[in-house]
Amino acid sequence: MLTTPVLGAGTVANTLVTNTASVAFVVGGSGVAQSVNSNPASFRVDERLDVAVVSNNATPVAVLSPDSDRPLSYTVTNLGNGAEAFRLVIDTALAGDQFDPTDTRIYLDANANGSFEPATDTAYVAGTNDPLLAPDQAVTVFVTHDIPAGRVQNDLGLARLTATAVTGTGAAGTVFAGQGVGGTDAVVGATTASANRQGSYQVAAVAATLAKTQAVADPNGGTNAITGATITYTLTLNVSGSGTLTATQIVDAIPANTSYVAGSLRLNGTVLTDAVDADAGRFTGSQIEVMLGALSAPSTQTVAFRARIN
Amino acid sequence: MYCRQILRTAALAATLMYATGAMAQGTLQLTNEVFQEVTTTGADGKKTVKRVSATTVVPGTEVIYVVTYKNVGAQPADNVVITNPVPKQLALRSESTAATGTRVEYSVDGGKTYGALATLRATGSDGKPRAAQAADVTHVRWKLARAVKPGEQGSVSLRAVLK
Repeated sequence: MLTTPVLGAGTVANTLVTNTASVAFVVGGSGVAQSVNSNPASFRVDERLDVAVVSNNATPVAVLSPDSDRPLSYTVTNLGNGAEAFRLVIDTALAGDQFDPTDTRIYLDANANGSFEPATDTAYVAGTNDPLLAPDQAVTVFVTHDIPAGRVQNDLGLARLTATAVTGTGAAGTVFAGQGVGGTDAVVGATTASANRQGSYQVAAVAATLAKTQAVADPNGGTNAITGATITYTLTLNVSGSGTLTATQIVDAIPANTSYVAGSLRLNGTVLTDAVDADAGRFTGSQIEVMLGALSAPSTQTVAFRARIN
Repeated sequence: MYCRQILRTAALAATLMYATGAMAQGTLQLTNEVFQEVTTTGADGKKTVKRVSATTVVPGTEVIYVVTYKNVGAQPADNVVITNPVPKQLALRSESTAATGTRVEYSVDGGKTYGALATLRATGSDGKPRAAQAADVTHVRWKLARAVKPGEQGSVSLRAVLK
């Protein structure tokens, strides 16, 4: 059976769809068999404008008061069938919270690694670098805020990211004639070409941040990520504020296409055995786990391990 | 008797020459058009459905292909079978309707075999065989019941949704 994989977004905008029919018959009298084709009947596929936003912070991000540059993460996906740019807007004046996050800065995940890296990720400027997404393509957006002083434990601060298609938004079915890919029409789909999601902060007395870096060493003495190269991952846990984190555990899955280097697990430079035993670390076969128990602020803990590219 | 033989031979020759002429000009002409149905609501609230030639189409909406055959020759066209391959970007919406006596058949294997839709099997997303649905159809075929007389025309159509 012939099937064409169908993208969630549908047939790509500006695709030319052509149909030619044929007829076979026998001419009366002579008995000669003939076959004739029709003319090709064609149309082009219009662009549909659709977008989705999800918040990647399932629970409120724990922050201090005051606090600065605390990131929220969202993913914006082009659900339409044509390449489209999306305008991003943050609203912090929302009801249902005790404070408004301040000093909004929006970043695009430049290296698509899902981790906010202020030195690497791109500062977003509306109208200048609105992310251009192919059909079904997604971009991770980081938004950092400062937390005002004077808030108490458990106070909530909400922020909302709205992504809208630059070509236009409106009720489903609204047509922007000739403004689609290749001069087709752009038509708003079921999402109204606009979507938004909320992220939230909650003030805690003690807060933790976990940062992850990687360093690649290849067998030839360089830093190319090739088969046989070793990646050293360093996870730094920073506990700040005042108070104690309890039952603290750092967990990290070994990435696909790599193999954990046995015996490479370290806590603050000390070797942790891979086996389940009295020490704080173990390798389960798919991830490393380090049990840190109770940590009182301020505290910094560094976990490192290596994986070899298959 | 001699005269009759000459007449019979002359008649045969005339038929043969005519058939050659028909092959050069084509007995059946086939035209293909694609439409969308547009519903407009009048001031009185009444809805009118109009067929508009399709130039650009929004994914998820329906198109209608109308294939018109016309006998432009002087001989009837017999055993007429019209075949329309469903473009891969479209999913056939429902079984095609056609004039009484026309046999409509479907293929889900790229035109290798044809049959009634209810008898066809396709492979499901789990790899197991299942009953074929309209969306699995790759080709539609219409077999006309009678010959198409010179000057006669008719049409067949199919409805499909743009994926």
